[in-house]
This record gives sequence, C-alpha cells and structure tokens, in this order.
Amino acid sequence: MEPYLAVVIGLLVAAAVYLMTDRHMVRMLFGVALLGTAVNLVVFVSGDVLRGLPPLIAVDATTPNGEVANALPQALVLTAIVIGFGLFSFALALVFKTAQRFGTADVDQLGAAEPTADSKFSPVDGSKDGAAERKRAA
Amino acid sequence: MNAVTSLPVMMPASAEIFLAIAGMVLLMIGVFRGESSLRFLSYATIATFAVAAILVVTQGGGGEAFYGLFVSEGFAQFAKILILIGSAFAVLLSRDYLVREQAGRFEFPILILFATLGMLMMVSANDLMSLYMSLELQSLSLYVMASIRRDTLKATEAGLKYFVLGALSSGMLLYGCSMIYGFAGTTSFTGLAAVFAAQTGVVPLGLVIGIVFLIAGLAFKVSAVPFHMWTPDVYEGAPTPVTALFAVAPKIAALALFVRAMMDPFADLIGSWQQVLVFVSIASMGLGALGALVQTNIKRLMAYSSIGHMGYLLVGIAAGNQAGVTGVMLYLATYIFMNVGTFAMILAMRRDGRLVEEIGDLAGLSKTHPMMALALMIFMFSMAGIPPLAGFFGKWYVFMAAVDAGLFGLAVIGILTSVIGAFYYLRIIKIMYFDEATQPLDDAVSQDLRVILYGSAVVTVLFVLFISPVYDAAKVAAISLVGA
Amino acid sequence: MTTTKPDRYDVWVMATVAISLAGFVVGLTWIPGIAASDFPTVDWPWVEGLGIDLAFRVDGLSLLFVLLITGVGVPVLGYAAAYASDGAKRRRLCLLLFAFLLAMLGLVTADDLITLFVFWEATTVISYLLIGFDHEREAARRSALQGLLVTAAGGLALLAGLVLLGAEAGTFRLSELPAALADTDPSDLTLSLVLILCGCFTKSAQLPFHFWLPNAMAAPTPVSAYLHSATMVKAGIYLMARVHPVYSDHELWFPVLTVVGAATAVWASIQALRQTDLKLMLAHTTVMALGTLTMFLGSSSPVAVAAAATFIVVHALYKSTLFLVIGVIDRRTGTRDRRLVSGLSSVLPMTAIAAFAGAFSMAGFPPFLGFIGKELKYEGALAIAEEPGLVIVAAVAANAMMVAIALAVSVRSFLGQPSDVDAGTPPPRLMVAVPLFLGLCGLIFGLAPSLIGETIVQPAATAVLGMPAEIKLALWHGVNLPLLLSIVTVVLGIGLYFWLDRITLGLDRIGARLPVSGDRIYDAVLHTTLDGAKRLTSVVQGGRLPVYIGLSFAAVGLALLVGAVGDEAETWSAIRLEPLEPWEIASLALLAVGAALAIAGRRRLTALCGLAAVGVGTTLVFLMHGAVDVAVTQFMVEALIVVFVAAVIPKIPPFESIRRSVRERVARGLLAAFVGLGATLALLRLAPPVDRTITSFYEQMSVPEAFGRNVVNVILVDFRALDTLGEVAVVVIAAFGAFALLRGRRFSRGAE
Repeated sequence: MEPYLAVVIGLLVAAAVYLMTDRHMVRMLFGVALLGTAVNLVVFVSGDVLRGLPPLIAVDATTPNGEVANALPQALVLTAIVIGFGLFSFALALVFKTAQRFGTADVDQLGAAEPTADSKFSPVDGSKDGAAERKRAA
Repeated sequence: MNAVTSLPVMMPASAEIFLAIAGMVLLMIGVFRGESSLRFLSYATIATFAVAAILVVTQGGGGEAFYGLFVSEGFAQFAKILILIGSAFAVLLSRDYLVREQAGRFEFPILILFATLGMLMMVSANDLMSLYMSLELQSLSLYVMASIRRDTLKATEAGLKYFVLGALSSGMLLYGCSMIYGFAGTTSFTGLAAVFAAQTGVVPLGLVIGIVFLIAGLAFKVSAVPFHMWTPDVYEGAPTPVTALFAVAPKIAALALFVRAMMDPFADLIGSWQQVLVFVSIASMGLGALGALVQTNIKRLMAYSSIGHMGYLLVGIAAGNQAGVTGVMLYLATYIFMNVGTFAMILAMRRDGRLVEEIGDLAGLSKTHPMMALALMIFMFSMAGIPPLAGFFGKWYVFMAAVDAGLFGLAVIGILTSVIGAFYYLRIIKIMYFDEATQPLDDAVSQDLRVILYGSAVVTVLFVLFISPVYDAAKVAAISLVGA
Repeated sequence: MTTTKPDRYDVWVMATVAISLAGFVVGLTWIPGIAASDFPTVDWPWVEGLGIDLAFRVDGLSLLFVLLITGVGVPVLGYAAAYASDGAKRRRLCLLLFAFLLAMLGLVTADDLITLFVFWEATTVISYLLIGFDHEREAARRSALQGLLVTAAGGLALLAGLVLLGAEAGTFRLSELPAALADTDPSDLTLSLVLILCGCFTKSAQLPFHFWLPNAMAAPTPVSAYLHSATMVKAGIYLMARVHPVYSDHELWFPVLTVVGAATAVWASIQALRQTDLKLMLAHTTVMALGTLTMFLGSSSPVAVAAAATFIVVHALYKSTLFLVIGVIDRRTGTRDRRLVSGLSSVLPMTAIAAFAGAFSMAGFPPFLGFIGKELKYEGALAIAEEPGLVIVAAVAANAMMVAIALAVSVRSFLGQPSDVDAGTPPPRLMVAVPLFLGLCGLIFGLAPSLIGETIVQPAATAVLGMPAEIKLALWHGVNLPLLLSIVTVVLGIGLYFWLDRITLGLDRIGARLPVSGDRIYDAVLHTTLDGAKRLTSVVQGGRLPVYIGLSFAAVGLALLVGAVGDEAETWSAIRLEPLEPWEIASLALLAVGAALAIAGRRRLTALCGLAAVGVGTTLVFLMHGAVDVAVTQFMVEALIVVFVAAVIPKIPPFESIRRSVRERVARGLLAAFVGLGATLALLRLAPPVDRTITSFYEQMSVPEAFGRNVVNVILVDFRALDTLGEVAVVVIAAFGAFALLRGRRFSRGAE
C-alpha cells in the first residue's frame, strides 16, 4: 500500500502547490486544506500502514491482542487534524471578511507591499490603500 | 496513576497551566464585558505574566512533565523569562496604541496571552508533536493578531500573507516530523537523542530530508532566508504594536525551540544540519543587510533588520557548541531591549495625531526631541553592534562561538554584513541629527511609551556593567541544555 | 567674540582642560617607573566567564601616546574654546573633543584586545560627530559619513583579526601575546594579520583607503588639528607598533608595510602639491606622514623604529601648530587659498613666528626637532637592510615636497606684499598663543633633544622592538650620509617651492584625467551596493503572495529532490508492490479524482466537491488501516469544512473573476509537478518497518496506568495530555479569532 499512497500523496501535494499559487483566495485556501490532508497522510504512512485491527484492548486483556495498527501515529494525526481544522476555520473567516470588505478575492488586488523603485522615495500619501493605488497607476 | 500523585509531575509546567487557566478566564471576562474591559484586561494580562514569571523561576527547574512531552530546565527558564518580558512590553505598547486609535480591541491582550502560552510551551516542547502543537498555538494567535485590523488593505493583506505562508511552513514542519518519526520510531526528543547516539554509519537521506524540513519550518518562524518573505510585508502591514510583538517574543521562542531541537535530539547528527544552517545564516545576514539599505519605511527596515539579526543568531546555533548557545541566549537578552525601545519610538512618531512611519519623518529629531533622538541613536548604534552598547556583546559571543567551532568563513561573512548593517542604522542617526526637519513630530508622548523608550535605552547603555551576571546566567542556561 | 575668557557656562570647558592637564602630569610622573620597566597596570574583571577583563597597562609606547594625546589635547581644547563662536557650541565642541581624548587614552592604554577594540570604535563614532560638527553643510555630512563608513568597516575587519589572533594565542592580553605566540607558525597568523592591517590602514588613511582623511577637512580647525596630529589617524600607527613584536617576523609584514607606506607617502605628497587650500594641503601631508611611519614600522631595525617613534612626536607638534595657524589665517583673512594669502606677518606677527617654527620643523631645518627627526629617518632608511633603495628614494622625495609645502605655508603666507584682510576679524589672543606655544615646543625639543630622547622615545622604541633599545637624539651627528641626503632634500624642496604654482597647475591637469581615485571608488561601491540592494528587494520581495509561495515551494521541491535522488540504490529495490484490495483501489482513486477536481473545477462548488472527495478518500484510508478514531474525526472535520465553505462561497467572487495567463498556469503546473514528484520520491525512501518500541510502551501501560482500553484515546488524554491541552487551546483561539473578525465593530478611524 505504501508505494501507491506515496504516489497519491505526491498528487495531492502537486494539487496543493498548484492551488496555493493561485491568486484567488478560496483556491489558495483549498490548497492549504489539501496540503494539510497530504501531510496528515504522510504522518500516518510514516508509522507503517497495516491492514490491521484498531489498537483496542479486550476487556479481559491488558495488551492488544495480535497485530494491531500503530497507535502513536494515529494519535499524532488526530492532533494534526484538529489543529488543521482550527486553522482552516479561522482562515475561512479571514477570507470571507476580506472579500466582503474589499469586494475582491484576488490577493494581488490587495496591493504590492514592496514599492517600485520610482515611487520609492515619494512621501507616503496617507490614504488607506496607497499601495494599491500606486500599483494601479503603474 | 491517580490525580493526587500526578500533581507534582505537573509542577514544572505550572506557569503554562496557570497561563492557560488565566487566559480562559480573561477571555470570558472580555467577551461578556466587551470594549470597556481593555484597560483591566491589559493590566490583568501583565499581572498574569508576572505570576507566570515567578512560577517559571520557582518551579521551572524541575525537569520533565507530562510523560516527558514537556521539559523545563535552566535553558527553558532563561528563555521563558525573556519571552514574558517581551510579551509584557507588547501588551503595554498595544494598550497605548489602542487607546490612542480609539480602537477598543479587547482581544489584543488575550491574544498576546495565548500566543505567550504557545511560546512558553514551544520552549519546553520535548517531543516533535508537542513542538508542532505549541508552534501552532502560538502561530494561530499571531495570525489573528496580524489580521484583526481588517479595515485597511495593508493589514488584511499582511494577515493573509502571514497565514498562508505560515500554513505552508506548518505543513513542511509536520512533514519533516513525520519523516523523522518514520526513521527513528519515536517522536520524543530524549528518545531521538538516544536513537541517534546509538546510530553508526551513514545517516539515511530520508532522515536528513526530515531534519531539513524541520529546519525549514522553524526558519519560517524566525524569518530566516529563504522563508523570510512574509516578514517585510507583515511588519509593515500589521498594526505597529503587533509588529512590536512579532519582532521580539515569538522570535525568542522560535529560536529557543530551534536551539533545543538542534542541540538535543539532533546533536549527534550535526554533520547533517550544520551546513544547512550555515547557508541559511549567511543568506539571512546578507539579505537582511542589503534589503535594509533601501528601505524608507521604518517598520520595513526593522523587518530586514530582524532578518539580519536572525542570521547572526543562527551563527550561534550553527556553531553547535555550548559557547554558541550561550551567545544566542545573551544576544536575545540584548535584542529585547533594542527592539522594544525602537518600536516604542515608532509608536511615538505621530504628526497631527496620526502615526507616521517613514524614516524621513525623523529628520531633525535631534532638535525637536533631543532625548528621543538620543534614545533612538543608542538603539541604532547598539543594533549596529558598536561597542560598548548591549548589541555588540551578543554579536561578539556568537562570532566567538563560530570561531571556536572552526567556522571562520561564517564569522568573517557575518562581520562583513555587519558593515553594511552599520550603514543603514547610521543612516537613521544621520537623518535625525544632520537633516533639517520639515515638520516636527507631535510633542505629546504617553507616559507608558516614555518609560519604555527611556528605560530600554538605559538598559542598552548600562548593559555593559551587567554583562558578567547575564553572561553567567546564559552560560548556566546553555550548560543545562548541552552540558559544559 | 573678542573675549577669550570663558563665560560662566563654561565650567565644563574648564573642567575638560583641567582633567586633561592632570592626565598629562600623571603621565609625566610615570616616566621614571616605565624606564625601569615598572608598568602601571589596572585590571578589572569584566566578563569572567570568557576571561575578558578591563585591563590597562602603560608601557613606553603607551606613554608616548598618552603624553601626546594629553599634551596636544590641552592646548587644542583651549584653542577650541576660543575658536567656537557661541557658548553652546563651545561647550559641545570641547566636550566632544574631551570624549575623544578619553577614548584615545583608553585605546592606547588598553591591554586587552577587546577593550582596545571597544575604544577603537568609540574613537570612530566620536570622530563622526566631530567631523560632522558643522552639520549645516552638505560637505560636512558627506565627509563625516564617509570617514565613519571607511573606518567602521576597517574596525570590523580589525575585530575579526583580533578575534582570530586571540583565539590563536589563547589569550586576549596584549602584553602576553608575544610570549604566547612565540612557537606559533607565522603562516597561521596570516589571516589575522591581513584583517588587522585592514583596520590600521583604514584608520591611518593608507592607500587605497586614504581618501577619507582629506575629505574630513570639513571639520572645524581644532578638530582637524587634533585628529590629524596626535590622535585619530595615529591610532592605526599605534596598533601597528603595538603588534610589531607579534608580526614582525611574518613574511608579509615587511613588504606590505614598506610598499604601502612608501606608495602612500609619495602619492600623498604629490596630492599635497596639487592643493591650493592650505588646510587641504596640510591634510595631504598628514597622509604622507602616516605613510612614512607605516614604512618605517615595517622594519625591525632599531634605528628605523626609533625614527618612527621620534617622527610621531615631531609630526604631532608641527602638524597641530600649522593647522592651528591656518585656523588663525582663516579667521583673519576669511580665506585659506594660498594664492590669495601673503604678507601676514605685519598683521599677525606672533602667528608668523608660530608658522615659521612649525614649518621649519616640518621641513627639517636645524635646529628644530624636525631636523633630528629627518636625520634619524635617513639613518633608519639606510639601516633597513632589505630595501634601503626604495625607502631612501621615497623618503627623500616625500621630504623634498614637504620642504616646498612648508615654505608655501610659512614664507608665502607671511612674507611679501600684505594681502587684503577686510573679510576677516582679528582672532582672540588665545587662538594666537596656542600655536605659538606648540611651535616653540618644537624648537625647544630640537635644541634639547634629551628632554624627549631617553625619557619618551627610547622606552617607546623598546616596547615596539620587544627588546631594550639605545637611542640618543642629537642635533649634530657630524658629516655623514644622512646629512648629505638632507642637503639634497632641501635643495630639491626649494626648487619645488619656486616652481610650485606651475607644478600645481600641471598636476591639476593630470589629476583631472586620472580615471580612478579612492573617492570615486567609494562612490561607485556605495551606489552599486544601493542599486543592487534595490534590485534584489524588488525581485525577492515583490509583495505578491503567489510568488512568495512559489519561491518557498521551489526551495522545498529542491530539498526533496536532492534528498530523494540520493545514492542509496538499495532502498528502491526494497519497495514492494503488493496487489491491492478493491477498497484500497477505491480509496486511492477517490483521492486522485478529488485532487484533479479541486484543480480543474472551474466553478467553486465543483472544486469544493473535489475537496470533499479527498476528505472521504482519506477517511477510507484511515478506516481500512485500523485507525477508526482518526477516520471518524477526519470525516466530521471534512463535513464541517464543506458546510462552512458552502455557506461562505456565494459571498465570494467566482474563480473566473481573475484572469490567469497560460504562461502563469504552465509555470505553476511545472512547479506543482516538481514538488509533487519530490514528495513521492522522498516518501518512497521511508523503508518499513518502523520501530514500535514507543507504541508498545503505550500498549503495555494503557490499562495498568490509565485504565483505558482504546490505546489511541489513552495516548491522547493521558500520556499526551499536553498536546491535547494545546489542541483545545488552538480550537478556542480559532473560534475566538473568527469571532473577533466577524463581530460588527470597526475601528473608528485608521492610522495609516
């Protein structure tokens, strides 16, 4: 299973890279989500993938019976999933609010932070979105 | 194990547990009382930090907790005290700002508190997963802070950039952690150290990849090249008190974590990561210095300056010896005051009640505000590493450590970039002292800012007198981590 | 203006003078002790952990400089008090000068390499403030910055050199260095030598770093006088003399110092002849004197070293005299152009005496101290065994030009047709008295050389050589080769003097055509650096988030690929391609299709479906491999995400609202393929099976320690409770953050 999963994870990573380099904020966010999923799978794969039983202990035993799946990576993946969910939810709120407030989902519309050489030494105009205005003028 | 017997096991983490509980309580108060609680929450947060600091000092030396996920020793205590100082300053700075801007964002102190909780846990993380979790705890609080002022394009853009690049780095970090786990079969630092100490022969390449990714994730957090790209945009775009926070406490936490990760689990694999750190360090020093040369916005300049400083600090880690760790700790102790002071100055730069942040706005400051100009000059000289100010000693010790470790080239390149660095710090001094003022800055500077500004300046100047005890403390901290 | 009596605000000025004078007297009392090798030392532990101490030690060499710094410092401070036009400026000037004096004293008495460096940088910084004292003028600001940059850059090179030297020797004590390095192979010291010399050469304005010094003439006259005669520029000379015992055996020491010194001396004298501004002319002669000193320090011959030590005193006296004289001329006539100034002896008789005393000492006429210095120089040049020819030619040429310049300053300015003095004002008396005093000192020491010979010069030479040196200064040595060379020098110099105007014109014409000069190189370096930095930041830091992400991923992909395509071939063969079960194929297919949909989906909902498919596929993978808890969590999280996104999506502009060029998409596609491939290859390297010791521990301890039968849950809530606590905190903050973002209140006004 591992080699196949490795290929599919590569595919997920590729998709994530493609989406994260998009200018649309939602696609970017989807990319972040895919990257998170891919990495969770990596964590899972790193602890051996067995077609095994869940790591449960029977009522009359003190250790798991027979070959069970590796419990540690599972615990790690659980932590990562929950954290990833927290991040995603917050990011979604951020994207939503930004799109509402500025009416665009294009990250480039938010303005180029590094001023171009010609506008470099001009005093700041003081307006809220001076960077975007400069960019539009250029 | 029942609850009573496990309590002492938690004592090393008492500061963190206290912060977490206090954070939840303050959050409740904030949510129910709303904007009017800002003042109370700010001081309550600072009081919480003070209590946490006491707990760190009294309980923090106790070793491991939480089944070895958490470790606290002299090293962690030193770093945590620095973090708590930096965060307390950030609360003070942000309070002044929020009041002046009439933006009663009561979330600020609470978010700083949670971010600080994450930072303290980062410092004590003794397991790859705890490392990841604490880093995320800290980062998420910072993402929220960076984007909370959503009514300016710049702030929004800054928040988004920071988040997306941060998520990317988290992915890399987690990827690296799982690779390491895949090869070593354990995530515990203690366990990893034991595995690698026993290992002989060639280090598997997959493991090296894991370490490189771990370094990449950490490099993002300390804004080292090539993962520095968020820094200038976020420093410039975020509200200034947030930038002030970003510039100090999280950097200390991430560096402490960096030091622990390299010196504890991967100490025996130094051959695999030293070259990576040397490269990152050189690139950061170079880009920080060159980038800063052409900036006109003072916050952006501070961003490049911090990239450069991180490069110098990484020199200490790359040295991979006790002297290097001592140097890093000492450097960080001086770094807090130079940066907090400079940001207090930036927050004091107002004209007609509005914040200005162009370097040119400082022209003629020596005539209109001689004391402020003097303070800023002290910070600039100190950052440039000119003796006998505080900033010199940090640089000095990390370079010495690099020389000790045989990294002559790194030390020499570091010194050369310091020359370029000196130029841009001195440019600010030149503007303050030699240029004619166009329009003076406002006179009204709040009491809080004054205290922080002049207090930091005094510390920076007088540090030379206290160098010996601080050095001894840093050395004790370093020895507790890496041995003599 | 006419009063030189300090007003009541000037207790500060008085204090600086008094303290400096006290320092001078203390220095004098040390003379007998030092002659008997009883060196005053101070030793405060500073950073005990590293063995860095605030250590000071005064030996013969230090004493020479201490006496010069205070001895010239006191008159200059007095002159400065008279020179400054108003009370506030006077106090600022004197305090800065005094601070500089203290820094210099620290520098020359430090016995610890780091202490020395600290004071070295202190002199750099204070000199920046002094040179830029008249900061209203653009030239002053530029020169100040130039001086600072050049010397600070050199200072950092020096730091690197000192660190290497200290590391090699195992001690940072200057006085212990020679012994500690006695057995060291000189070639191990090459790097530190080069770096230390960089520091010395920048500070002491040697070629090719000489250009900042003449530019520093933008400083007020007393500052120039002090910096050029006894202090700032001598710091480099001091350090070269100080490390002489350590490095003089190094194969680079002699050739580098001799050639650089000689070239600097000759080049600077030629430059000096070009100048029409008297002050600039003197500035270039300072560079010339420094070159001469460097040249002689290259040698280990006692006579050459003694010549250097004597010349340090000679130069300090005549150069401060002449600078201060020019300050007086400037004040009285309003100009410093030597072609416009003449016949001033009738207006400024006392100054004329000072000028002649200084100039004759500079030209090396008997019975002035300069004559002794020059004789000794020639004697030293002849004693230099390896390259006497070069040294003698350089010394004679430089000295001849010196004679011409000395005559230009004195004869031309003070004799002949009186020039117009309407543009100036009469100088205060103190301004006249100070150069007169300094000039006469040159005469007195010339007549009674034993006053300084055995007391100051001999201990200094002893310290430099590291062995006792016998030095007797005398005016008359009989007819010998040095005397003949002196006569040649004087004849040549007088000839040059009569042709001076033509030479100036000619040199000016040549000089204008010179393609390179240090000044221009400095400008070029500065501008190239700034331009490069500008370009670098606009490329790397363009502000576009997709570019940042792309660059980060490119670095990641590179790391992955470099790691994955390693040399361990056997891991590839270890890959087992076992047959897949149908549900495994289904889950993998779901993942692949989902990823494809997420990329290709043109509509927001299609892409969301792709995301959901990936989530379900992941859930299946977890479920089928014994991770039930993870699968359940993953599924719930995925469902929540889909609900959230579906709720938000209608409020966000569609994907088509942004145009993406084909080129952009191809580039992104290539990058994606590159990183994805790297991820796959790196994962294939993870060779199973993994070590399960830790997991076994959890499995063993689960029931007895934590009373739990689901090992995953036990790990999360018991063994890894810390992680879970943090996890909860993360979710709380995320919710809190979203709340903060979405709640209605806005900032009432923006700051930016």
